[in-house]
Amino acid sequence: MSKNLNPHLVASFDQELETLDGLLVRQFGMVYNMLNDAMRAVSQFDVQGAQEIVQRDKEVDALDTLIKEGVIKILALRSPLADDLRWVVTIQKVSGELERIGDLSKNICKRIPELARRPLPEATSGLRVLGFMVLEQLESMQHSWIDENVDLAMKAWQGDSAVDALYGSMIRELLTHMFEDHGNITSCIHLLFMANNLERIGDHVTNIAEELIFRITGKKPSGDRPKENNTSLAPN
Amino acid sequence: MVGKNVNYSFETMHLEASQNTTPPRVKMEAKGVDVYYGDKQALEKVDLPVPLNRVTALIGPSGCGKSTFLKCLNRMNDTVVGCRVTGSITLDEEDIHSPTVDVVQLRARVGMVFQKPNPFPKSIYDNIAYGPRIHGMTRDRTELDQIVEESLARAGLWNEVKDRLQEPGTSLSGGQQQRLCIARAIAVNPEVVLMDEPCSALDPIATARIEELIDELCNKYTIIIVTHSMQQAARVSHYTGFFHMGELVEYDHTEAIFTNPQQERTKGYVTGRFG
Repeated sequence: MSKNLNPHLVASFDQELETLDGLLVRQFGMVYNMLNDAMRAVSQFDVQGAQEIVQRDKEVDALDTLIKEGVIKILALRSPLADDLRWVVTIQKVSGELERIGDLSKNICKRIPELARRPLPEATSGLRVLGFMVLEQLESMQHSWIDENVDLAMKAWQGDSAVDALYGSMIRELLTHMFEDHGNITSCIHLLFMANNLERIGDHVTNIAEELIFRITGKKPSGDRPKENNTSLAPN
Repeated sequence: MVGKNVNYSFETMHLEASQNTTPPRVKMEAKGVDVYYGDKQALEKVDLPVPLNRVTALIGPSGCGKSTFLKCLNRMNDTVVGCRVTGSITLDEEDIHSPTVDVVQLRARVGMVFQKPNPFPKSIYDNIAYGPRIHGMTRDRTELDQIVEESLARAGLWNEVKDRLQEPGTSLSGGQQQRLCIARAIAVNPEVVLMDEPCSALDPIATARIEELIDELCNKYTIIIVTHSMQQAARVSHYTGFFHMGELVEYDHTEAIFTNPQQERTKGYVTGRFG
């Protein structure tokens, strides 16, 4: 139950909300571990580890289904309003975002066997830094959710531009590796897709930050979303 | 075309789609209204504008003063011994307590529907015809027939009762009786319709019919509804006022009250944390 609100007159409603929140926090942890292990598998070119992580995505999906069922039940039976309504709707959306982060972590792992065929340690370092940044962003978001900390969520929301900037520079770096040696192209393409997966995870974390800010304040963050993606040739 | 900097809310888009874009003018307005029952103060400094052709819901726990406030709007409290109302309440900018205001005419302009359906012990036809008759609104039977038919049709009851107009109003089901009371209220062509928990004695289907009716009627009338059901307030009203212990704690667009109330007391009440 939210620490800033008094308990409901109907105690079982509080219990249901707590259960739902507990499931989401568990999903946060699962997804964080999945991405953390995925990045470790990338740096160690650990094919077996990667395959094990891919399997874990099913658990994240199952948890997402469970959370959505819980949300529908609460919407139908409790008719939540105001803070409760925002809470329940936000949980559903955040669970969807976490489920997508799980998918993207799985996608990263699926490419590890290909990458391990021709490892490019020097080209992988950028990806590791990007992964570290996104992991930090995700961890800070998890803390913001548990502590209901709007300032921390706002920082995560604003921090996505750094991830975008690094992603842009990674593309240029990978292009250089491809120009240097055409034999690097296959590995670099995989690294490129992995970097893209990480950049997308950063976007999902940003979405979660927006949802949390909305849940607590009732308003989405004002202004344009921070964006520093200079990878596209198309005008913004 | 929607500009980049235009702040569109669901509420404004919904209103624009269903009605017009201009903000509604104020039909009735309470300013600094205090109500006393003897020494006991039941309402304290209530300021509430009621927009034209919109549904305004009043919510709050029992004894918070919402029904007292509703009764002030057509001076029903005048009939309560020991009740004293101060402050100003205007209808089309005219003070309803002004000596020039005829209270019978006021109650024709500001009609009321009560919690429990209360048809007169008369036929369905006479229930509707009663008001137009005493107000001398018709010249002959044809005109009266027309008013009866129109009122019943507007209340969504005509098709169900057109072949049994001479049967007693009390022979109808609870939901039909309430729609009969609404038809009776609108037969005298009021400008404002006050509804005091109009669905609390009705089943969900009859409630849905009344809610649908409120939605249709607000195109022609200004409606103020007191309800204990927050879902009902959320479904039918455009604006909502939350009363607590004789105070109007918060008054805003219904969407804002139920998704993001600003006052702690409102938040506590609508989320069921009030203790």
